[in-house]
Amino acid sequence: MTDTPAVVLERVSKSYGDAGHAVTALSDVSLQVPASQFLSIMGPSGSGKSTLLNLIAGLDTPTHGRVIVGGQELTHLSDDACSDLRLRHIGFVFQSFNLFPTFTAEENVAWPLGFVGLRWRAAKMRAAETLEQMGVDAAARSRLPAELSGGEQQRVAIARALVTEPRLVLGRTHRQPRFANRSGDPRRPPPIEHAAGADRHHGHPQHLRGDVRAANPRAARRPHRA
Amino acid sequence: MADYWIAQIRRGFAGVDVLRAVVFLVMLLGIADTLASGVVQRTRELGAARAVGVRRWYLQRMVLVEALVMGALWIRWTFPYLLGYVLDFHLPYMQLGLIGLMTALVCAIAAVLPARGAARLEPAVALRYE
Repeated sequence: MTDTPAVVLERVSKSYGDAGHAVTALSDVSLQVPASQFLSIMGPSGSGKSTLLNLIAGLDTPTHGRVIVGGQELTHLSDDACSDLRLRHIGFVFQSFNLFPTFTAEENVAWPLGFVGLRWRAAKMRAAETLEQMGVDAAARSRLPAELSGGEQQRVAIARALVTEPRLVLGRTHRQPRFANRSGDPRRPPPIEHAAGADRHHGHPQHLRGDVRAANPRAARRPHRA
Repeated sequence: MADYWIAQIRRGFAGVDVLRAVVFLVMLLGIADTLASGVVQRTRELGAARAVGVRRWYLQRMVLVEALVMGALWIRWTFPYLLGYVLDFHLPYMQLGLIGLMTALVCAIAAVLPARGAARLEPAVALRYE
């Protein structure tokens, strides 16, 4: 168990566009997510959910404020260091899955492991194990994403996010997230899902205000893996 | 007399060099265009790769390798026609090596801008791309 929070946002703002025509997606948001927590953030479209996720994943940089993931401030990291952090410590499940269309389900899951130094054969074996834990049967594993059902694609996307055994899992979904802890594997870290999130303020849906509230925080059943 | 005919032959084949330059120019444009459109078509995938944790240089290298593979295929398919079957009794290693080298160079040049474009993609922007 560690005291280091999984995610800390300190007075984070994010604007797009020029100064004259800037659109504010996030305004002065502070948020602290302790380790070993499962967190859902919900809100209407355009309220800054994706921006929040992108900032936490280091896919985007804040206009103001600090984003700290696992004790590391992202704004201080180089682009390569940020990529490495995502590769080894952050799993990301996209809303539209974004599976690589020319790779089979198994190759999609195995692919990131090549970048952490695993040989292709070992990577495919681990991918197969992870897919099995996710309930993807052997026949589906050798199919291309286009040949899979929506549910299978989602499981493959989740498997790809979990296969590197990340400390933090971020996901976007339309519905109430249910995939956390599905694998039943005690070695797996409890995912923290930021599904969505916003407080509308004065009818401006582009503002996710500083008082972001966890809509469904609950302690995970297993300890956070440091 | 011999000098006269050698000069005549050289003059006659001078246009071949121009043709060769044109062929390489067309090849350069073709490969660059194919690579660039490939990068644009795969914008979301490249964004997803960056989101998974792939570094920029890897995407850059990927596009360069694609260019070289294209060049290798080009040589494989067109080289017999360039040489002409008339000369099948003679394999001009020098010319073969030169064309291979030129092709690799042209491919590398053609790949510069598309590769840079792939590497510069901001993942958050790429993932929004439709």
